Amino acid sequence: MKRAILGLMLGFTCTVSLAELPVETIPNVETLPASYPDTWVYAHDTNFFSLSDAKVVLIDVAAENRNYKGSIPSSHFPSFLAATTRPEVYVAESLYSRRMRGERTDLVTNYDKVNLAPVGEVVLPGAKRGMIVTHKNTLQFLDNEKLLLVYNFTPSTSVSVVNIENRAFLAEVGIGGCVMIYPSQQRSFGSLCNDNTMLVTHLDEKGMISKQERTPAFFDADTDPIFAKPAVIDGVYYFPSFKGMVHPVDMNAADPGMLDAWSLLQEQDRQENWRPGGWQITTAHEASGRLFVLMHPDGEDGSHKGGGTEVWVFDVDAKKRVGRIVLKEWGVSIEVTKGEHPYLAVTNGNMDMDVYSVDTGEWLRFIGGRAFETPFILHASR
Amino acid sequence: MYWLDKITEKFSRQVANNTSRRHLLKRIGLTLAGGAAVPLLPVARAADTGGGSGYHGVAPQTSDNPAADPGDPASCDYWRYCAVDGFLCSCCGGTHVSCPPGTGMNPMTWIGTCKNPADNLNYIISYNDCCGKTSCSRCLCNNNVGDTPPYRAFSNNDINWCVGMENSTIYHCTTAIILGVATETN
Repeated sequence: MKRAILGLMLGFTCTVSLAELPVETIPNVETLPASYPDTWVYAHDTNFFSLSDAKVVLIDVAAENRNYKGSIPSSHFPSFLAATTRPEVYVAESLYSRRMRGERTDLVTNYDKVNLAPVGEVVLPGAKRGMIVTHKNTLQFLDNEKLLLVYNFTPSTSVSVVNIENRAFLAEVGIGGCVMIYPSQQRSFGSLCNDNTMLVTHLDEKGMISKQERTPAFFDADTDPIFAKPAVIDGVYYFPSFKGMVHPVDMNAADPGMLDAWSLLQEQDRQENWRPGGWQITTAHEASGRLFVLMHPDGEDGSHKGGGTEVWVFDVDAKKRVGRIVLKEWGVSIEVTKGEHPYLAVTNGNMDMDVYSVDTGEWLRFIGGRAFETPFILHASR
Repeated sequence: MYWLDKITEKFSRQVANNTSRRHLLKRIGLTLAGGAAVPLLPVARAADTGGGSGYHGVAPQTSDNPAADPGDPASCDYWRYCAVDGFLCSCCGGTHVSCPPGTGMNPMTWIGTCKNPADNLNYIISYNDCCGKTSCSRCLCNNNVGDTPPYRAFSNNDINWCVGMENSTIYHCTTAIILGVATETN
């Protein structure tokens, strides 16, 4: 009897295992939604070990598996920016006709969000595109995302203005040795200058300069330089300094308002010499008015790019620290997603990604497997 | 730069399986607790204990005049590298003062001020990049003493200082060349 039951079971097992699988489709390529969830983050991989082969990797930081959603190629100190008013993202890059030599072409490439495929491009004249280890403020929108501004460095500095709706280069505007692009809510943008001022450039509809003037000095680069990588809350740019001050600049109007600087540090923090440090050292959760800064103790000359052990959370209205997130692994760059229960994505010292809950500070997951080589900049989906 | 220690570990772990994550973290912790005046890479400390240049598979070198110009040009803690950012040309077919064959040296660059331990003088160091081939990828080194944000460009080491090269602005590696002794005014 036992033998009969065993035979029956084996027969059943064989029947199940031999069930014929359906024919599958070839070719078969994934697509993405035209609008991404709040939990998706673009990890901009500069790929310092092979700079001509950089990329942007799209990661769902809330997903335990299948969190690598796709990628976009880019080349040689590229810049990246995602639109919020249309389903496109943009890469500004430089290519040579013979890969490492030959004719240089600088261009902006439009990719559609559904297929992550190129759908257009704008060639930038003059071979002037600024090449620098990835910064967010080398490629920015203006005028409700009609204009796209590309930072140039030769080492003279200027900005190429592109009508990205018509995919047409409009003009090159000089910014007098100042650097980066900090857009206002109007048709103007700021650039940081070595005399501790911000140069404000106003454009007309054709992308030409209508007015240009400098603010008064609002920081001191000799004693305490500000990082050129601010976070933005409600149109106010928060520029941390090397030694832990914050210099807010209100860019809601066409002309900026320089607000009072305040300190990230309390007395004990000063005694322990906590300082901001890392690559993408700041991020923000706009809905709750919270600023996040990557911090390290025992700061010293040269530690400003070294990364940190903690992320400090500040209420910018109260100018007060409201939380400390102790990182599981050493952090280099930080980004917070939007949404009611945001995530903190951290590029860690291994150049992999750690994900934390902002609500609890709890470490949630690790995203690695060489998804990226050097993801210096993280862009949360907006 | 502490995280660069870890990148170095990441890219060298295939040849250095004996370096565990815990070991590395321990060494980083020691660095933090020690509060060294100049960030010392774990690889450099390995050199201190007789481990070679500090980069796995890279043998130590000397300058032409080791008495007056001491240290290992293939190590990230060589005194001239106090504000360097990139791959050391000494490890890439060039030297600390010359570019590898077939690349071009950009005369336009950023500078740092580093103290020579042999004479205790501060020297102005020009970090000229070598350009025209893909990243060397060997001996990545980043120190930021005196580094400034890009609005003070000529002391910023984030910029691709292959800028302006006629044939190719592709970055390959970085040298560290003495321009002179620094004075109070410069």
